[in-house]
Amino acid sequence: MPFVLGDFFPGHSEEVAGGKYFALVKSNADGDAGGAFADADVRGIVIGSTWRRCSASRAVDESSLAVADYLLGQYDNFLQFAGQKDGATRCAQIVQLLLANHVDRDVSDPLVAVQLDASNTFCSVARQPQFDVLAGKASRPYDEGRVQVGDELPRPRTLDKYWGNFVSMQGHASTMRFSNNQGVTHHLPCSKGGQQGDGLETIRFVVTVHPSIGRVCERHLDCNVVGICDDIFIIARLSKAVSCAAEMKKILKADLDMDLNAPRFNVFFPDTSFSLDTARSALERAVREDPALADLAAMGAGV
Amino acid sequence: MIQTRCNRLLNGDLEWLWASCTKLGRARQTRLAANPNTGKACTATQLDALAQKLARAGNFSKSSQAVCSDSTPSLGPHTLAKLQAKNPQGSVDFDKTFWPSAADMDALRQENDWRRVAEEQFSVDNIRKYFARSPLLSAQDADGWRRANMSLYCSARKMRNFTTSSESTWSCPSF
Repeated sequence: MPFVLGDFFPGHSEEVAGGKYFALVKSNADGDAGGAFADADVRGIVIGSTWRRCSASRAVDESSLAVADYLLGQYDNFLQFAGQKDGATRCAQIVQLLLANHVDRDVSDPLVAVQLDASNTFCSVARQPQFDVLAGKASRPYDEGRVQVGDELPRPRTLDKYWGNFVSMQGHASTMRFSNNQGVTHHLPCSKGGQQGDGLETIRFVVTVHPSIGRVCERHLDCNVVGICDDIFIIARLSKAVSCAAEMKKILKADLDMDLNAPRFNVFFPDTSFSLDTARSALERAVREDPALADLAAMGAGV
Repeated sequence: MIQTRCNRLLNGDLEWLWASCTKLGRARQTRLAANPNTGKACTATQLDALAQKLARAGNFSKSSQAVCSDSTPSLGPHTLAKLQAKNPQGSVDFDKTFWPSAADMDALRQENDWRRVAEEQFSVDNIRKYFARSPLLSAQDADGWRRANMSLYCSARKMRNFTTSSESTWSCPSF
């Protein structure tokens, strides 16, 4: 229960919110297992306290249905599948289903899926906007002033009872312990974002970024947006999809300090009549035609 | 060993106790300093032995992972710097104007929904079941505990508010 209520001696909070930290070579990197490739990327994994994982598991069990209702029902054209059983599979199936509707071939503006790529998302999201969502009110303007201080922010009410947990885990800097290859332990502070140490952290992340993404989606009703945690897919006509992606990149950076990595966006053209070259030129044309899409100029490597 | 340590504690010999408790860790550190872990991939024979060990312990998920996964630990000299770069620091001086107060939280905990959750989801039985279902040889936390260790702890102590008897035989974490 201390993990649910956030009931800890303040001097212990840093340790309680932290954990054992180790690193894996990121699967899309060149490999750093022996330290041979200094530029290979790493994936940090945190193992939180056994009791923390237990209480988080129970909390997720209790709240997952209500949270799923919220994530699937809050916005007409944005579905978030995180925190659900087989969420990734369901997300992929919905994307496939939406892309199957590409029969009316419009070569100039074809139906595509743009997969957004967020850099180091969990560890880099600003905490204040996340607390604002969990508290239900904005403490600063969001969405380029469309949301003002004191405005209500949507959230699933079922998470209110875990406020103590959120504050005890993210309300201060935490300490992660990393032992290097010589057995020396280093203490790494963490005061931004959170770690994927337990299921409740995943739910906290998706719930708190949901309104920022959803508000952009509401302005792009021609787009269908599907997500599984930080993997977001925009399915729409090419011009509409890139416009939505550009606005999302801007808003997420301003509101959450979340970086979307445009060169690593993937664009899927389901229509098999497109070759790699024609797909690339269609994408370049779409980005070039709209000055508002300058941010996406580097996009297209993953066509 | 327990008696020796208790006697040392009663005699105020804290330095000896500290040295005794950290002996294994220091030995490991000395060994690694001389021969740093390079994270070399296991041989097929080692993987086979590991997968069998995990399967026999009932941890089929990890056993399968041992065979199929191509994840390798990052143990290079630059790993620490990369992890530090992965964790940018932010301000924890939050604007708490709209945060719920302690009174709000107290009121919330008087509601039926919270009482139901506390009684059902966080009941002793459910916590015990969570640990009882835990596979053996799962990951150790920072204190060296595995979930299965807690299962023994819970069984031994009957989980009565976590505050009973001295006859328990719960296992120490294996560092």
